[in-house]
Amino acid sequence: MTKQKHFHRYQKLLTYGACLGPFFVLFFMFQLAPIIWVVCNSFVYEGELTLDNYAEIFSSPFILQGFKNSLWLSLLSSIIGLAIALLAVNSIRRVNGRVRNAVIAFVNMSSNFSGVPLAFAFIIILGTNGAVTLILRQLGLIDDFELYGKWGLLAIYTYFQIPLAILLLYPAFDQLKDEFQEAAQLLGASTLQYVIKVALPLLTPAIIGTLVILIANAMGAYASVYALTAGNYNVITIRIAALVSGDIFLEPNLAAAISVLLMILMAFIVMLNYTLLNRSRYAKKQ
Amino acid sequence: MQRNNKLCHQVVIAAVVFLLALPLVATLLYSLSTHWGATILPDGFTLQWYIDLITDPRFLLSFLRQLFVCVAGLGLCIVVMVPVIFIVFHSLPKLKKVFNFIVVLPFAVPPVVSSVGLLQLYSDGLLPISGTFWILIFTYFTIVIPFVYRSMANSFAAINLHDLVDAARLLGASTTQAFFKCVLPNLKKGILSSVFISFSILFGEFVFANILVGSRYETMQIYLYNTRSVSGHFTSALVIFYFAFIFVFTFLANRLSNRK
Amino acid sequence: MSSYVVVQNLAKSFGDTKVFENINFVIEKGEFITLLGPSGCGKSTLLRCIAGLNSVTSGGIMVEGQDITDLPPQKRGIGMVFQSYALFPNMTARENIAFGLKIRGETPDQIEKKVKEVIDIVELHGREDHLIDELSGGQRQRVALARALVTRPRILFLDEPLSALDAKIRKRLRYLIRQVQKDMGLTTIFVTHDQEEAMVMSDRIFLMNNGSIVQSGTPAEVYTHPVNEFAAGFMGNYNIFDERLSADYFGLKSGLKSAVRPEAIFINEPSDKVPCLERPVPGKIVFKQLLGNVVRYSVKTEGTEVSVDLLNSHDKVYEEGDNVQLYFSRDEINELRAG
Repeated sequence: MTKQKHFHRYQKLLTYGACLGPFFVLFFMFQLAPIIWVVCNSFVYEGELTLDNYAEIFSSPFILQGFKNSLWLSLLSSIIGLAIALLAVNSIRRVNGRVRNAVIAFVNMSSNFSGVPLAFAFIIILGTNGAVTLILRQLGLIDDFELYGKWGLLAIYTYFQIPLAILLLYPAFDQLKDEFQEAAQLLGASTLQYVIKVALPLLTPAIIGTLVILIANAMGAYASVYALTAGNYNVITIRIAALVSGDIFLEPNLAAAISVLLMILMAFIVMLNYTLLNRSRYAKKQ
Repeated sequence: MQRNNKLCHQVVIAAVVFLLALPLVATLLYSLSTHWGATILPDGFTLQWYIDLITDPRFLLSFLRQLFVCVAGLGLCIVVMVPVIFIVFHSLPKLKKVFNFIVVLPFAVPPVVSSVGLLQLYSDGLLPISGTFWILIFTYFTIVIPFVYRSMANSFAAINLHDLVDAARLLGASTTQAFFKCVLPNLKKGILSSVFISFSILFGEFVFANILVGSRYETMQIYLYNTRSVSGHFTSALVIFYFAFIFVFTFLANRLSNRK
Repeated sequence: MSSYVVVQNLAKSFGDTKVFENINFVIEKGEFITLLGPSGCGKSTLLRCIAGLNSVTSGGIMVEGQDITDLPPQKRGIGMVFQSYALFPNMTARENIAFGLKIRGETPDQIEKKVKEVIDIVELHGREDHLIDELSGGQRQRVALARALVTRPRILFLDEPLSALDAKIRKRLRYLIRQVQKDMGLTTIFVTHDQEEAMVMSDRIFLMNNGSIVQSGTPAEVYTHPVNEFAAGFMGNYNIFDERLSADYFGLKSGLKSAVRPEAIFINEPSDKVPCLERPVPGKIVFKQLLGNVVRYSVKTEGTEVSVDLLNSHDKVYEEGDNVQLYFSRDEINELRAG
């Protein structure tokens, strides 16, 4: 009796092991181990346990500039993308079902348009002889558009943030029922008062959550910058990649230290999000 | 006033769609034009660039390579994940919390960061697979974990798993039989939609391919990058080809998720 | 002209589909009116049109002699409780109730006082600082009612406010709503598809079908004297007799159908309280159901099957298979208008 019970238990554990084992081994090897390696080796410099890598980062204006550029691009593109998405989702919610589904399907599709192919598309329309550049120049709106500098990058970042922001915000608008506005109206509120006192507070958790994902998305972006500027524009992901796969100076441990700082920065942004959300009792419950 | 509002919403939507479609349409025009220099519209139209593209053996090879690593990575993920999710939902629901963490990890850690560690761990030592397609298969496996888990978890939540397994067992099936004969067929839709979503994501993957392998195993994304200096028209044709491919997959995924 | 609310020739259509037309009625101050009808009969849309949430296609609405047909909803002085309550989930119960007062710019002291008053009225003590998600259905209903009452509206609108609640709470809230309405002397328009609710609560019922008012009157009038087949079917378990049977059984010469309530028919002996037709109709009991205080018999007569409700008293009990005589109360034979 007990023997059989033992046997059953043994068999059960074996089944669990056989089913879960391969996954956890692979997940550890190719997802966790690299992160652990990065964290550990960021404290190793020429075989010694030290903070030298971090010291080097803070004394290098070049690396700090990479952080600054990344942050600038991420924050600005996230905020602009979010604002456009808010407007768009609000409108998408107010048109009839068929148009709505078509637009969402299109946005879904265009969210895949990123990275290297997107960079090429931008070169075609916004490059020196690009069609849009020509139109803008003829209209006298610009002298010359520098696609390969920070404004060009801001444009491309914003472009890939918009579909993502729309897809993330779209479900949140479900909570705004038509009756809310009607009830507010009957109680004497204008549209503006309704937006400020009811709609925005209801959407705040979703807006902040979306913003965080957008910032993280932009901070980690690599392909579009790399393809657009051939790695010549200094953002932090380009710096990291150059230190591990560049042609000349390979300093993987310095890359690891930058990576750790990048992750800390992102964790900080997530924390900030939670603190913001915790200030509202309603949001905390979501 | 209501009519005015409606018009206003339509204008906003049209503007956003125009903005999002602009690069795509421009690329399409570029890929079809003979020459498009310093003018707003192209000079003439041709299919030459597409013919050049599909007759280029290097392109075909890179396409097949990309297809191979994507299919292999995604296939590996599904084969490994299906029993895991079954066990988690059937016997070990406590592990759901672990998976909720696992699922956000790839988003919290940028691929560039992962690749720093991957490059060092697998360049030499016991498993020197860096620079080969093996490393891509395994990293692509990690990329699609969240998508595969999410859509499969959704389909598991939609069926009454315990009743289904219990019913099958009362009718004489073993748990394994119950899983293969009664549970798996119900997950077909979830698996299929995760396949399409994951596929379109993997097909656009560039970071790992570029840093870990580069031109040593030229996938389509790398090929696209490497041909940037050949001809803008040719590259455009390639971009459109890629996007058409992605379009089919997102379209199928959409169709699947809309058909309830 | 002295009536409180006057609705004249009101019509509404969405494109080619008519929702309602030719709606005319007057409501006196302090009346509790129920718009009763099956779903899709246009009652909710009619309410929304009077509230100004939908525009009307033609016709006019006057309140206290003032034409409000084209006024925006904010300016109509209307309080409304929605079917889904439409409480703002980002606010507590108290903040929801205070919303309308704040928008009006009343002072915090005034707001505090009025909110406290109305919380007393709807009996919501101890829950006022909870978020809406934390309240039960009945409590949400009370908050919604309080929010609509606190601004002292000229008319209170209730759009199926009880349909989402379970039976017990529904009964308690019916009573509360009616009590508050009477105490405040509040003119109220209530929308429901539940005839029992309408009967219990209303001063007058407007029975609606297919976008028009079929019958209006006190609950007793509408219940005992339905004007057509729809009204008879909707208000109770009326027995409907076709033209031939009406002539045969009741001697009606109008050539119209007729309807008789199950409780206005007696078995084997005429009632000693109400005058009955002298000639009984013979039949056979085919089915017997005990409904509690009432026993319902299905009696098969030549030509149709008749439902008869008798009080569940022990002296008169019949069994399935019994051959019986049916006596009809003379005043309760309702000739029905065609259509």
